[in-house]
Amino acid sequence: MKKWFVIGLSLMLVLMLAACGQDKENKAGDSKKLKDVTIMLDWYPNAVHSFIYAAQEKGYFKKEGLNVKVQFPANPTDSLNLAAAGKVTLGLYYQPDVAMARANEDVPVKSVGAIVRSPLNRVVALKDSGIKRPKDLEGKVVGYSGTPLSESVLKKMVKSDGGDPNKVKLVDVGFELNSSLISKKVDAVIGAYINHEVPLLHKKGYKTVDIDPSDYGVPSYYELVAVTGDQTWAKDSDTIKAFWRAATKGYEYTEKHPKESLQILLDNQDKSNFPLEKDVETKSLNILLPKMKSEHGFGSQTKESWQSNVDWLKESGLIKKKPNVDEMFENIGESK
Amino acid sequence: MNKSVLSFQNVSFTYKNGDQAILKSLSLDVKEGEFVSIVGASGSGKSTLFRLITGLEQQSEGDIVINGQSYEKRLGKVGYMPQQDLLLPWRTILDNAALPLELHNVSKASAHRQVSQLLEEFGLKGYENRFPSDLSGGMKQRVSFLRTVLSGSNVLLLDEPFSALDAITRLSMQEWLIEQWQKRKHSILFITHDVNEALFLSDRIFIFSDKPVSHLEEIQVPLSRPRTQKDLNQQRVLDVKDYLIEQLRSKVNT
Amino acid sequence: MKKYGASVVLVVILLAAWEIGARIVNYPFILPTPTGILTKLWDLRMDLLFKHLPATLSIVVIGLVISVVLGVLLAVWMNWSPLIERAFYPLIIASQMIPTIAIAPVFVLWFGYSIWSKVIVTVLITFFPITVSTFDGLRSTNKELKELMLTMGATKKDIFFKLNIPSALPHFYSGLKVAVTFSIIGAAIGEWLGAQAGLGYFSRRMMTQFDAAGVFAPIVILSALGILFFIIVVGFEKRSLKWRKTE
Repeated sequence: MKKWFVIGLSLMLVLMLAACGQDKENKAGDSKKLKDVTIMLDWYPNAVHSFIYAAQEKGYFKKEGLNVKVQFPANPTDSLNLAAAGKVTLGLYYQPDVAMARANEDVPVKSVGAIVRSPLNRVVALKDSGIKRPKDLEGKVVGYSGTPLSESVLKKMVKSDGGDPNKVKLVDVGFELNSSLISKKVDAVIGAYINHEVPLLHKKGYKTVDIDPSDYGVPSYYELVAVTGDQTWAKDSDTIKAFWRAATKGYEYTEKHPKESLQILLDNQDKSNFPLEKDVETKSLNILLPKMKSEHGFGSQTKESWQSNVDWLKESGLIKKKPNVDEMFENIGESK
Repeated sequence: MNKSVLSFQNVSFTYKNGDQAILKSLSLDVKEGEFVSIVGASGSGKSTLFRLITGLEQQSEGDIVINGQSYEKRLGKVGYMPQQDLLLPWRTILDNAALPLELHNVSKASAHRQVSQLLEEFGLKGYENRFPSDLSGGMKQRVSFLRTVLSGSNVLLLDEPFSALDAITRLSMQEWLIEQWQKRKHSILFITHDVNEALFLSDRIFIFSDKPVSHLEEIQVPLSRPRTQKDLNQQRVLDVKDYLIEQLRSKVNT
Repeated sequence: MKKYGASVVLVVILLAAWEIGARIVNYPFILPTPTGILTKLWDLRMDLLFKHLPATLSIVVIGLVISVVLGVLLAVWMNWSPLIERAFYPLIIASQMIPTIAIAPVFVLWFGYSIWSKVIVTVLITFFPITVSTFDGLRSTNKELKELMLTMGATKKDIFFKLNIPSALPHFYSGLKVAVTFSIIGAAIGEWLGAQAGLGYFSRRMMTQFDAAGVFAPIVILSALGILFFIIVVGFEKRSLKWRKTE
């Protein structure tokens, strides 16, 4: 009995050492060729990520000497957390949330590129509800995903429209925005995206009214940014710049060949967690592309954008102190 | 002393999943105030006899007559004292003993009173509110017997009640049992493996022979009362004892 | 108090290791320090104790009461009828395989955003240990005791109330001890959808804010609640089972 145990154990140890050795070899081998970069998406793959997959498929990352691995978040906040902790090179997140994380919790991240340059978030109501503007929400029930940001956005919108936010009832529906709207458990939702939830509703045959926060007092913001940890930036800014160059090429390809790029995306979708419908994603990409374009270069950011957001966040009480805006972003997307 | 309190009339019985009949047309008779011991090898049918009398089993043929009446539903008609004390561990001694009264819808207060009156006699005074786990083996058997007495029946079936006790406790319990029996004048059927015990306690001894049992051999115990343990050394008693052991051994061998 | 000494020492050691470890790692937005959590607890004490705790507590208590009633009734019914047992037992086990995260939205659809969607989630998790343990307890009835009582003229009702129930009681308490801890988890999870207050709701909200200490602070209160409930059940258990001699 004892003899077999010892033999088995030694066998295991040998195998483990061999495996470790193998790994080291591979890593050593790779470093001569490509640098590993991980990017964690904000959610499962959808149209907004086309440019990344296009850059990968077309070899743009490889040309910059990068081996890019795309990861999906298990928790919605993982992409920011893990980027800050240096566990992934880059993460995708939302500008206001990045500002709040930095200001309130000193989360050490920097935004390196603005991908979607204006809000996708809408207050959505079914057409037959009669709701046309934020003031109409008085006395109604609005579903949201439970974030303080959504609460403040809604309050600001109602107030701007001359309404009393206290007369609006907010209910946390988690991710069930569309289903709670369809089942009439809520009169409207906030947090629905004009390029996802709305097209899905239309496809099901529902007509909607979509209200843009930036039309009602909420400063425009970057709906999707790429972030990296402060430490990662300090060590590897060259790698990140290289990534962005390739990503920019990927974006340009998507702009010129949207159909092909979309197909590459569909080939990379996570069918089990977030299956995509071609027609919805086509609509989505059409909405997104103009929002991703900048005359100053793909991903370029302005200090004004960050400052106006920080000002508004402070005014609505979402952040307690105003952080140094310069430390929040690195404008690597700006073309000279 | 001549009235029959329990009789079997041509009773036959087979267990539901059994292939062999246990009892076949058996007849027996127990008179009022008698103390009858039942001896026999294990598996010879003694427990079956008790199960039939208490009503846990139904005979396939014949009549079982208790106090002159033939009953089909016999549950609750006789008192039964099992081999293990089987006291309910979550009840106090008082409540355990009162159980048969409770089951006959006697009020709790009245039941407690009846039990309390008897506790001292049974050597259990002061233990009313204790639990079975606090008591010694002998004391638990006394509670069990008290419970059996309170069943209200004049016929008591005792199934090897002292076999789990040590030898010395067993002897004192035997003497105590005879005392109680003489005071209350129950008719007692007593199963035992211990031949000495049977001889000390009983008026008659029934011997269970091989299955199926159609006839029980009876021995009259050649002793008057009161008896002492020393009386068991008399020659005629020793002869009976030899005969008994002979009978039992041969049954085991066959 | 001496018997808790070892536990206290262990907890202190673990907390110290946690504090040191967290400081070394230095990602307070993911891994808070115990001191950070305590500070946050103190800062938020008003809201946590007077707004969120009562919300969760009401879900827990209602959920527990329903679970106990449902669990015991189910156990009794299954014990009474072998057909019911065969029909229901597999279903009861299957019910535990459904991930709460998946089924909670369905409950919200049925019950809306009232307290009942959260209570149902709680009951779903909590009734199981009670049902299983009570059922096993009822079945553990000593056959010889039952026969003895029959010879004393006991009716079926007598057997049930005087034998089955006391026999099942220790098992019931075992199940209840597990159930109270489950009920608190259930309430916290139920609050993830359609709630406006509650310790689970608050914890999840703090997750979106990268306030790790804020995530853990309500959890500390939930744990304390769980321990309190457990102690209460043990107290009841000791009193009703005072006849038991333990080693």
